[in-house]
Amino acid sequence: MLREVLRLAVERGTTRSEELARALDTSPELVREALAELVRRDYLQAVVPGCSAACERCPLRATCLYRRQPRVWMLTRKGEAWVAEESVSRTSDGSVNLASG
Amino acid sequence: MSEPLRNERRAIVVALAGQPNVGKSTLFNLLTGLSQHVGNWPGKTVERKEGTLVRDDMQLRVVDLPGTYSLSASSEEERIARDFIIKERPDVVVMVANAAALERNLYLLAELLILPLPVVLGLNMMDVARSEGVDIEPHVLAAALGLPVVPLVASRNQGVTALIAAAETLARTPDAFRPARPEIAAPHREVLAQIRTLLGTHVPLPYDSDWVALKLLEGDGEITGLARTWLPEAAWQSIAALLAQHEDAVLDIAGGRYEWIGRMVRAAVTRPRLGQVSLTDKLDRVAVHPLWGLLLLLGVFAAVFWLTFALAVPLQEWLDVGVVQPMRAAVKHSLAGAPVWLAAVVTDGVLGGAGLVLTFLPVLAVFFGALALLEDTGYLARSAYVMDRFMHALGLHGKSFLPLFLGFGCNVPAVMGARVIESRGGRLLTILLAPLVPCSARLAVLAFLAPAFFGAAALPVALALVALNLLVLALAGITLNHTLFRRQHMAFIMELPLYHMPNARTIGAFIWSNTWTFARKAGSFILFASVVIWALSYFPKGALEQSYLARFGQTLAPLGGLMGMDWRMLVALITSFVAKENAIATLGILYGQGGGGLARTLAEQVSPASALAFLTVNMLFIPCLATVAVMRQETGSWRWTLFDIALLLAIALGGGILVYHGAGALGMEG
Repeated sequence: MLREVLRLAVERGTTRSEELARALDTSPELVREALAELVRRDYLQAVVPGCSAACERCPLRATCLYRRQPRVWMLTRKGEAWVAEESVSRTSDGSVNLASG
Repeated sequence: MSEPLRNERRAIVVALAGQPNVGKSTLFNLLTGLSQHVGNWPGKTVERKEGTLVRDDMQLRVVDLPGTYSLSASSEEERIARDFIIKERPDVVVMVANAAALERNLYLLAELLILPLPVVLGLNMMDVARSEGVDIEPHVLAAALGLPVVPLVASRNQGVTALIAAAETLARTPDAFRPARPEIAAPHREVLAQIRTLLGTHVPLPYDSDWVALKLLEGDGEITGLARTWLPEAAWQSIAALLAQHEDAVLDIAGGRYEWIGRMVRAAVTRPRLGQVSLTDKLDRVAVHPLWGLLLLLGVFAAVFWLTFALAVPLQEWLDVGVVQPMRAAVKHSLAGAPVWLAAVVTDGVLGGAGLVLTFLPVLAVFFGALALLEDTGYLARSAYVMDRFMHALGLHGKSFLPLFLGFGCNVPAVMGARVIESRGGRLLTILLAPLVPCSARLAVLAFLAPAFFGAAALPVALALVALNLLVLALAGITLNHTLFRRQHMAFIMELPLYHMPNARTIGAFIWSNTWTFARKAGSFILFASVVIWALSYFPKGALEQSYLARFGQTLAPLGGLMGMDWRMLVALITSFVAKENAIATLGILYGQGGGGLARTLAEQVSPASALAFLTVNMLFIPCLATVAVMRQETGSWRWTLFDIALLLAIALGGGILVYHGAGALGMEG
């Protein structure tokens, strides 16, 4: 399932966890756990959209527009390396090229 | 046989496992009452709790393990729990799970089941789960898992007796324990078998060889270290080579566990999607649709501008004509006896510049109020998603989008936000593009000037200018992106918040902080700049046309001519470098000296083509001083900062010239 989450995310470029749940025929709660697992295993990283600083310590907090932010995950270096390797092995089979997503 | 020894033999050891905050301590207290021993785990600072319970004539020794999310030994608590289960071999493990978060809790069960011990599952907080609309059928779950499942509400002492009875029965008949264990997903099953073979008989007791093989393939640091000491060099080298080759096996091992959890939950849990969740589903069918979502976003943007024009601009005009202008007249009158320059600096400099900027407060309050409303309902997160997909389609990199989106509030955090992008090229690209996002100050200038110049046509003009900005941003992005970001893999997963009713307090606080920040800026930065601009426009002879500023401005006249702007408009653009609102302060000082309000004077003196060119340049112009300073700090390079300033200047002036001539060709010159 973790492979499928990564594959779908890369194929779609930008996707919602709800869409992943639908595509994998599972619950959004389980997708959330799978994403957390991928973060623990260093394939994905959770990012605060647009910001590198933690909100609690940000001097612009009071005037910041984005407090009910979406939670966002993106590939880590390890994740990108895995995708690159997968795409090579999969194209040699003649099937989907992940890099085209 | 002596009495104590017989007691020792009859005591059943029960390990209480579970994730943190699942009510494990409540259950432990209920089971053991006053017969508790509290100490520390040997050599650790983690608390160890143990107690006894007597059922009929059977004694049960209950050991409360530390709360752990898994058994991966990534924390001290996890190592303690794992070591206890492996080395002390309790007769039965009672795992307590939070029924309302079953997906998360079952992961620990998946790990427990790969150890050769009987497990009973206690589903605690059934009441919470029910209140959240989660409907669990314990007997179905028990059948699917192949182990006893007991529903509990530990806080009300419900189900506890049944749980301990199930544990005792299982402890007496461990051979009957045949659970449905999670399996490793297919691609690495063969590799696991190879490792198991290589381990042979080298794994010492109490460790289980199958479990050790799985943990090695999972990349478990502690077990890897131990295995190296257990195995002969040749066998270890073969295993190490396999592990290096299959580093991603963890995706199949942990992935297999999640698939197993998915099957169990699908079998026994129903979650009717009610209330907020169902509403969110319905609204999102439109809000995040590739086409409707984009159209809705455009509509929402138009509505925000319309609201600003309809509510705030009349109020702003009233503040200017009804408050600031009469104040200027009154001050002029009361300072009749004072030196001429003093009356001029107060009326034309302070009130005409900074005072005029303060009349913006309603514009900003409405604008920020509308944005805060959208944010608080959860819509803004959707707009980020829709825009990201749109920009993706244009070839822009997703990672740079979110920092850029932040630029609508202010360009400074947009530049700082680029830190999330790890590649230097990508970070630089985002920093270079950030000033092309129209910030709230620029939008406020637009909101003030568009009605002044274009009256009823202000809304389409303002929207077209924002669209132009985004188009230029996309074009610049695509051009730079194709050289800097080529071949990078993009994957962006978002979890959007649920829609909810906006909270008036939150919105009010947001409007207050933003307008207050703006008022302070008007009272300091802009006030200072206004006085300096006034002084430069007054001295040496006390007349605007002979002033230092006029002399300087006239040297730029040829450039202004290309865009149909006189020197005053050019100077207004230049002063916007300090802060965007200064453009208005400067126009106020340079055009507003006749009284009667700036809007009316501008409408009389500036042609629509020149006005459009001015607004275009204003939107695309070099960012404010604060943004430039942050750009220098974040790029660490004056070269790149200056390059961007030059690039934006070229884009802005090029845009201004094109728009002026284009508008002229359409007959907007008169």
